[in-house]
Amino acid sequence: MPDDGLDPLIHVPTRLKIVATLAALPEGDALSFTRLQDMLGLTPGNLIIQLRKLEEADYISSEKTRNGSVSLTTVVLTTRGRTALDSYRQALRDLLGGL
Amino acid sequence: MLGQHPYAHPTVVAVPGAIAFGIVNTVATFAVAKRATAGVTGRTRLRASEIVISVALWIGVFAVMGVLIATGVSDSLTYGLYPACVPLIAAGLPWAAIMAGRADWRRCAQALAIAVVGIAGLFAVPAGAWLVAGVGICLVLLGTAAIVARRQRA
Repeated sequence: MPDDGLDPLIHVPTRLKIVATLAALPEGDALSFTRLQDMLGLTPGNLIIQLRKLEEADYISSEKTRNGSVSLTTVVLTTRGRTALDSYRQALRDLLGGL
Repeated sequence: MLGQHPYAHPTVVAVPGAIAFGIVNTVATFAVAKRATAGVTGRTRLRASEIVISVALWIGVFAVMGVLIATGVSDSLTYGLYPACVPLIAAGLPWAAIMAGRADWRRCAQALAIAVVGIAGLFAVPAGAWLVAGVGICLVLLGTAAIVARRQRA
């Protein structure tokens, strides 16, 4: 994550939507993969790719649980991810503040 | 409610009207909350035991009110002080305890403030209790909104 400027990992529109959606949850709460997919209108493949990139940067973490034959994948924004979004917001404000 | 004097016991029309409003309000609240929190899991979600205790307390408040009516307690207490203050205390204190258990201190403080409004209302006259409750809740909600807005701007 850069010290200043716009974080390129979050700046991509799809990933920004993912991070912003997860940030709306209280800290410690997780969102199911299917609900996130419904909310953002993404295909499962696209969502998996974007989540993987965010997970590699430790911005999100995912957990897969199994209840009988049903498996549930949940996604949560990490503290690092929340901090990165805050920095991104601040950078955007600084950038657009003069307009 | 048409024909309802605010400081007298409810008319025949007011009671079913109030009950219907309560049912519609409760069903709508649960439906919206269920839709909004679909797919959400984690520590802030209510446990079944917490829901049962909260609902039982809430029903208990109005069951006691029914007992007050049945035993002929004065209208000023039954329809004045009690419904204006006791529900706020009964909702505020358990909610504060639940939020404290989750270390959610903002919501804990908000719930305690609601309970304090209810307790303050007990020291007012029956009509004043409704005023205290109305103004108090309004201030608590506005204060909470101001804190949230300030945090979002920071």
